[in-house]
Amino acid sequence: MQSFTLVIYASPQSPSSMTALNFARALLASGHSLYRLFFYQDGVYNACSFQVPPQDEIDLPAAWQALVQEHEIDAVVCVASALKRGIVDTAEAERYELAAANLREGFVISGLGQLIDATLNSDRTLNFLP
Amino acid sequence: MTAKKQKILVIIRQAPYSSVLPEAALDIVLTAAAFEQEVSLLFFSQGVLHLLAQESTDSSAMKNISRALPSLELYEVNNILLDREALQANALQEDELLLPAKLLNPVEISAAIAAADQVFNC
Repeated sequence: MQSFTLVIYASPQSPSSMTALNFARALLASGHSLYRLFFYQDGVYNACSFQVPPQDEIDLPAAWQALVQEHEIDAVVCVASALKRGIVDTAEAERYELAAANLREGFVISGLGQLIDATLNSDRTLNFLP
Repeated sequence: MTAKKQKILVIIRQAPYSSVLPEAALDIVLTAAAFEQEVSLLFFSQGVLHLLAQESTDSSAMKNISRALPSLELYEVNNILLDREALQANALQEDELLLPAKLLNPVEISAAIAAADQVFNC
């Protein structure tokens, strides 16, 4: 039994994000635990609710959300990465007077300190680059 | 948070202005240092070009993250490592570098990676 943190730098359009999702599913199925998912850089698009993938493609943000909600995983989206890419929760949307919020339920926006905290508190931290 | 200090090695391997990853890596370095961890930074492969001293982005809108490198010692990030082979491959001389770095050969790089508790390979 080990605890893992996965850092996702890749957008949902990168195969690396799918690999990370499959890895997360596999480690949970093997009885390991997920301390945290940390979405960094283009990885923040995995937490966006405004994407409409073609019908013959997987809806990766929806698949992440299902996993996060089913296993009550701590899923953190880097605030600096998110704001510059237009991913906001209702608080940030109000703060910057944006037309809408688009962060999926189950994800939280927080700082890079959450990545270092996760590194210190999980047995293994894996990076999924684009 | 655990009390034990961890050895965190961050690797910058992409050339300047080619990717967002070097800046992402530098942000991890600064945050880990703020958490008072034992942080090392390795410039690997084309990443060594970040250490070129005579860089200016004044004529473009590009962000020059190398400007932040001399302030790393204020964060007590003193273990700056450099891929010796990449330095040679890019025809760089040690006296052209922004800050002093330890030049490592491939075996020493392997050892640095093996000695780290955590590696962020960007």
